[in-house]
Amino acid sequence: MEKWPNEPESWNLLHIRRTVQRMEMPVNSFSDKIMSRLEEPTLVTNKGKRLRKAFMVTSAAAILGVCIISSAIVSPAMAESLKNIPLMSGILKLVGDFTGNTFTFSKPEPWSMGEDSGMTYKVDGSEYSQVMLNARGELENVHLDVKWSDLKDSYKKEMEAALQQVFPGQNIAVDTVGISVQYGLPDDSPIKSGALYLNTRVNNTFIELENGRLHRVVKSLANEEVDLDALKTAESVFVGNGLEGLKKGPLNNPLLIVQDGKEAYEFHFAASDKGQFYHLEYDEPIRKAE
Amino acid sequence: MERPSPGAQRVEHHSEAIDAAIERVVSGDKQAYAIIIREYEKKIYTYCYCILKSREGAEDAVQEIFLKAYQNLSRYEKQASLLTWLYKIAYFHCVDLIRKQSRWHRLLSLCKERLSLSAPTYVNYTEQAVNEMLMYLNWEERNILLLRVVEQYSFEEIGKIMGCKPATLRQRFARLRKKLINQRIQEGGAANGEVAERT
Repeated sequence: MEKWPNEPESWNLLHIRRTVQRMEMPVNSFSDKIMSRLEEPTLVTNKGKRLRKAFMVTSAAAILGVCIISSAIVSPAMAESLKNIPLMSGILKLVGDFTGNTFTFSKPEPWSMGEDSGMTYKVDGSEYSQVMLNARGELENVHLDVKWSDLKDSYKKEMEAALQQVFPGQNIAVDTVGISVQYGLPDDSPIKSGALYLNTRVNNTFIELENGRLHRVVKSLANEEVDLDALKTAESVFVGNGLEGLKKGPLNNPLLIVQDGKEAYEFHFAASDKGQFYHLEYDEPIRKAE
Repeated sequence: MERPSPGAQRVEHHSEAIDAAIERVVSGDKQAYAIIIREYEKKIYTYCYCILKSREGAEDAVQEIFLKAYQNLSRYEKQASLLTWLYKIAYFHCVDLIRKQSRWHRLLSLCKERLSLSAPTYVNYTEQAVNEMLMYLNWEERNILLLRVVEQYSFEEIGKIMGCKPATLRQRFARLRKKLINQRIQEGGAANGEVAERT
């Protein structure tokens, strides 16, 4: 498999943010558990009273802090950046072109990261969405989840074709498709500036299309599904002092990645008593024995 | 798909539903608290998971945090962000848990030496990816990274949550950025330089 280039730091931080924001809870909601605990008569224990007392101090500090926060929110720099935001109709048209639908947006919200800043909009009715503009009013990215029923017909066809490639002969139903377009990325970024990405997830398989064509498939494998020759070769890296004494732990959640027609395994081994993992990317197309 | 960043530099827009729910809870309508839980539980769970590095720990923590918030909701001032307020509770709750854990750290480390390390199991690819991205950072660094990069709070605001000076946070953030860059370079070296050629 070709090397995926090392991303510059800004992309790395953005990647961290997006990945963390994608995390799901293990249950749909904790509200039932919490609400039932609110009904318990022993909710306020001695410990609870002590905590409450301590909390009063922290709560007061929080409120005091927010007064300062409020005055800092509308800074001159942010006010200046607000002037540069293009007309909403222009942004709406752009997003409409991407999605084939008409949307309304939430109120703009300022964002900043390092030296960069701008505004974000949320698409009304979409659970996950973001339209981000930089301080110059240029569109930085569009991300939104679209229900299959609301998806543009051409995208449906592209996704259906990709699903047939990945799951030939199967009738796969998809609930939601993610649409993503990003701009201003460096040339060596694995994501192409201005390219339209569609993605969805079917069980343990993540599928991504780039400009209408199947681009990447990431499948989480059971250990038994891994090609033994590939695993053996990967494990040989740990033999001797090649990794400066790094010990190999048990194989955990191996991934099969198919990108642009090339296959690779990613093996993760527990690597120390701190529970860290050594990430090993297999650098050769791997075909299972037929 | 990415959610819009709710960082504290943004203007906090409480929805009318949340404002109404807060008023109802404070007035004695306990059931209205479920609205508040459902609005913010995912963010608080994610925060706790990243700080505690434990699914079970995060599940317990998110419940305790919302119970604490409920008990003190009458003290919440609306000009403040409710999410910021919840993060403050979450931060101190996690600090408390970590400090308690540290008392047993030496004992546990002795036990670990006698046990073969069992690899953690992840419920999905995202959870695994998050763990791998954060595994080289200590809990304080993870906290700053989450609040600064994920939630996009300003250092002043993070300082209010954590109770420390913004200048200190800036220094810590600069250090953790270097750490991430160095880690990235090392990973690249390991992945690209130490790969095995298939025979």
